[in-house]
Amino acid sequence: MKTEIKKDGANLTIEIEGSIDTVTAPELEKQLKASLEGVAELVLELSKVAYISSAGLRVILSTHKKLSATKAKMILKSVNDSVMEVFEMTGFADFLNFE
Amino acid sequence: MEEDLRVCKFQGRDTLVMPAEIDEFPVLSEHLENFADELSIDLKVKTKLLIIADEIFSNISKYAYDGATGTAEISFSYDSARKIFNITFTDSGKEYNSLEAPEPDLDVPLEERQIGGLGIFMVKKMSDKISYKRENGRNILSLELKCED
Repeated sequence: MKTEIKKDGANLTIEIEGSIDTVTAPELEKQLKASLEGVAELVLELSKVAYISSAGLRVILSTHKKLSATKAKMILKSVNDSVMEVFEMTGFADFLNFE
Repeated sequence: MEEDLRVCKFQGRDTLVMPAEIDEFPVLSEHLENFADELSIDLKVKTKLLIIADEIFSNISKYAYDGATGTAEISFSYDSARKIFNITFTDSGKEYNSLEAPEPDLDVPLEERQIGGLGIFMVKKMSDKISYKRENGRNILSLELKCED
């Protein structure tokens, strides 16, 4: 997994490439933890994500909870079919913002 | 970690014996990916296989041996006549039938969600056939995926 982080004021964009799996999800969580403070809008750009397993969903969930607590917003951008299938299958799609 | 692996390969079948440790997952995923590519397995099925491998291998790594070191054996084979991919996970850890894990409630808003059980739920959804048996002190979980034309 590779990530590219861009911060513009209170807007944070993270572009993720590769798989968000049992090994890489904790790395992503660490990066998010380090950069979420003061963020009003987080955009996760997912077009280059090969697949996401439940370890990745766990990170999405904890990030969503953290941002909701401060009334901040999380947007999942350019989600491809294989990742969307997982969001739909697990009921995550109903509660997330897509763009 | 090459020395830890005993790989026997023959046509359409592969077996990997490896330490049941999360950090080893890339060895399994790479191997599985190569195997699927050699057989020109379609991307959708390959993605499902990788997710299944992630969920089951990480479960074995985290829970089967109660923190002690153990091994996981993963066999995969492809039946080209029936277009069926089989993947079987075997461990010698404590008895555990993941098929009996309670299903998560998908209607609960994310704020109130507990994440447990989601991995196995996905595995069940993604496979066409799944079976568990306990034999000679080993957990054997076998899954089948149909490859469409």
